[in-house]
Amino acid sequence: MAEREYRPLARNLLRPFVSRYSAWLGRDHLLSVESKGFHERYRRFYFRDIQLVAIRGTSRRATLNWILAGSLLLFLLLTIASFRSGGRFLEVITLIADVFIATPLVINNILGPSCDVYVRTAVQEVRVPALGRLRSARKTLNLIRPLIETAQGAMTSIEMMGRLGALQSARTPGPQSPAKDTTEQQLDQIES
Amino acid sequence: MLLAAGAVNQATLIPCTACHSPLQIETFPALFRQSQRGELGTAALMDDESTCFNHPAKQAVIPCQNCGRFLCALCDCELGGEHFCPSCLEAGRATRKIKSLENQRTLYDSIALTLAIAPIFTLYFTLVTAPMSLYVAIRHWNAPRSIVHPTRARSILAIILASIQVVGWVSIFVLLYSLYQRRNG
Repeated sequence: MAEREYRPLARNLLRPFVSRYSAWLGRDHLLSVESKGFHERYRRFYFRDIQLVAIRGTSRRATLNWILAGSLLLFLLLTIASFRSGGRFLEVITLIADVFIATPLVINNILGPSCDVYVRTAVQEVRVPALGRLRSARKTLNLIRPLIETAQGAMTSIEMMGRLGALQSARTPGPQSPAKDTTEQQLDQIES
Repeated sequence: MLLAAGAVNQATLIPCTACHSPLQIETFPALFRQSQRGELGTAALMDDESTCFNHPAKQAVIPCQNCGRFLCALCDCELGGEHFCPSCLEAGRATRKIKSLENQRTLYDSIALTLAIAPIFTLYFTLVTAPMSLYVAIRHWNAPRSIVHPTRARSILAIILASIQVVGWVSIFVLLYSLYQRRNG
């Protein structure tokens, strides 16, 4: 059997009815797939181009917990009321509703803290929606880190710190007039 | 996003000094790489030198891997380790022959499978949807499938299910016709 070109990394479990997102590991890139109806849109992040990966903690899990817990409480009260009133049909309906709300609530907590993951290259900074949980984001990062380092060459942490410091100080606006940007220089060269 | 240099490449979430959002930032050497300026191509100096197909005055540096034309550094389009001329690159994008240039696909196999499965419970709709499913599955048999699920399993399943439904409907009509013939004959 031929080896599969992509290996699954993560997918959104709690968004089955709108756009579904998934992340896949390719030979030389990370693939983000958005599935909407019968269409798939792809975004590729080549390991040689990835400049940084940023993980930002969000309160999405807590918000979802509040919404689901509130709804569950409401339906539990309805279930109790239906059991007291003795309506067999209503009992079954409210019990089914309880299960339908409790299931995503449990899944939401099993998946762990939520986050947003951004991947930056020289030309774009894009969110990878499939990596919506801290656990899967870190797992993916640990998986792609050696691949990125293989593609770009490893850099020691001391060297990285030094370069970051230099980069930050270079971006601080100085009193001098700004130098011609690269595009302007290229245009000058072509004209000459 | 604003972080002190020491807070980058840490394995934990560290609050941003500006917005206080918990952040973990991993940087890679590409961040410090100077953006490469596009090559313009070198002028050909000798008569017997191979020159670019598009720019006869410039030195050829590589042939196009699709059409074999000699290309100068300006015309050389590198994609995933392969080298193409601009026209092959454009043709490859238009005809979907270069997979890494595709950024979206329509999943005809999923359409066929949905047409075969979804109306089963209503039964009567399958009279229309089963032939539609068969048509979509066969018409788009060679169409590109999902990049991440490239098998024909969905198309095959759709054809099997739709065929069963079509055979079922044909049997019902044959049975009804034979009953009608028996009553009137």
